[in-house]
Amino acid sequence: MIAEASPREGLSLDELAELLAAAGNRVVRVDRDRNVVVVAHHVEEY
Amino acid sequence: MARRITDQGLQDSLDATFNVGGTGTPGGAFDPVDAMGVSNFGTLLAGTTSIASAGSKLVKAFDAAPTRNNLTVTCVATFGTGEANFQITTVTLHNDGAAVNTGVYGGVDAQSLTKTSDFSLKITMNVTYANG
Repeated sequence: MIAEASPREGLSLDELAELLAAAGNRVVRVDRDRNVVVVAHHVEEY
Repeated sequence: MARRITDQGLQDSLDATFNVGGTGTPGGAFDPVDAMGVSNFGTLLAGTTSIASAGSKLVKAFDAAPTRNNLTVTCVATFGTGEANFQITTVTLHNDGAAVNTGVYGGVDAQSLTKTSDFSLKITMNVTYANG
């Protein structure tokens, strides 16, 4: 599973990353090329 | 963290593969997995069929039809800034359509995501069938 957060209008990527971390989310990485903050990235085997 | 295909999901896969009951369309889809749920549902068990008991939940249709690369199917759903603004512990795949809590095919639990209106959340779920 990969979960990527995209900032609302008016919010920068860095601001979003700070908000996410403050809310207890795990910031996996900030992807500036795609303008997203990755908040979960797991490889699952069923 | 449990990541599982539920018994219901496995049964659905068998039904689709073998056209059990003869209600499928040869060459066509059969009760496909078509939606993704986010919720604060607890542990996903083999017997889980619904996330209705979760206090917070939203089941949404995939952004587009899933794609497949060899043995891996990729499902994507995006939750907008005004949607699913709650603590997300469980992400599920469903085959009863959007806005319906039943038809749980499988998913992942024990996540720790807090969604707010400050962002939209795009979730990609890959399901890989192992050979051997």
